Amino acid sequence: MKMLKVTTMLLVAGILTLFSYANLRVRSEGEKQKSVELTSFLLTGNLDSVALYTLEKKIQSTKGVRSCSINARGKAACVIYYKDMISESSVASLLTEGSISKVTKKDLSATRGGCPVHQLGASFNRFMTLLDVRTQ
Amino acid sequence: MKKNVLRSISAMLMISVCTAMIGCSDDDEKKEETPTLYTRLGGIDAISTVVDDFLTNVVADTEINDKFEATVADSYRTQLLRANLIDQICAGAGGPCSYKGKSMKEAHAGMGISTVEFNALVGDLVKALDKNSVPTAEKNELLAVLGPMKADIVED
Repeated sequence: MKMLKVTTMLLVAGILTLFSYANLRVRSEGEKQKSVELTSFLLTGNLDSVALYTLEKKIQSTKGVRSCSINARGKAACVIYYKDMISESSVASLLTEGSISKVTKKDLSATRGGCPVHQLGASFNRFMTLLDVRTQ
Repeated sequence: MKKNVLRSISAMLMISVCTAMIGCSDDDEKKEETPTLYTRLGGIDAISTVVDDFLTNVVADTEINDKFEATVADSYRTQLLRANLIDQICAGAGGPCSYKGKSMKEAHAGMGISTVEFNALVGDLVKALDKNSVPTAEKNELLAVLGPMKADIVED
């Protein structure tokens, strides 16, 4: 019984410590920025460089879109946007323009390439973000 | 006697006031320092815009985007990368930021990044800076700050 009490108290103390740390830690300027979504697309079609540039500018000026980049060969596109202002499907339909006949969301494999060092940091960061009421 | 003392005190006060005024004007001149690169770039909002453009350029760049796939496949890892990039550029430009990520050597160890890939990455950054009309002087100054990282990133 005594063991159970001690264990419970330690557990509660641990959770309170983590909660306090999550909400009192000093966030960097980068962490304070509003969260964004990043989506990558594969494009099928033929657009010349002028048309690609125009399309990029058009998407970039859409409300909720932070940035859009279509590669020079017009085969891949990446968009960063605020998900509370525009949806992924709306972004995809913006890309279907002119001679771009097909827009497919790129299947990004979580195990292929990437910055390995971020793995642990990302898991810890994810947990702290869940506990941090400032980010809700 | 009293009058002489009063005159002396008044004279000393006048001299002190004049000295203070000269001293203050010297301080004003000293305070007109060149603004930091951070200020000239446009502050944190401008830097975060450049970083977002840089990230989309990189992820759309078929030459190097495979190096970033696992990171951008995960929303939280993307946020972390984005935050670290913003903080790194901000801190490097003399801004009020603290970079909390890994050192460049640690972060890129084992990734086998070549000079060609590094140059492609720099090209994507330059495109992002040009897209945001960053003046040439500030662009070169920023590239000079970030350039030395090549030695820690490339494993040719």
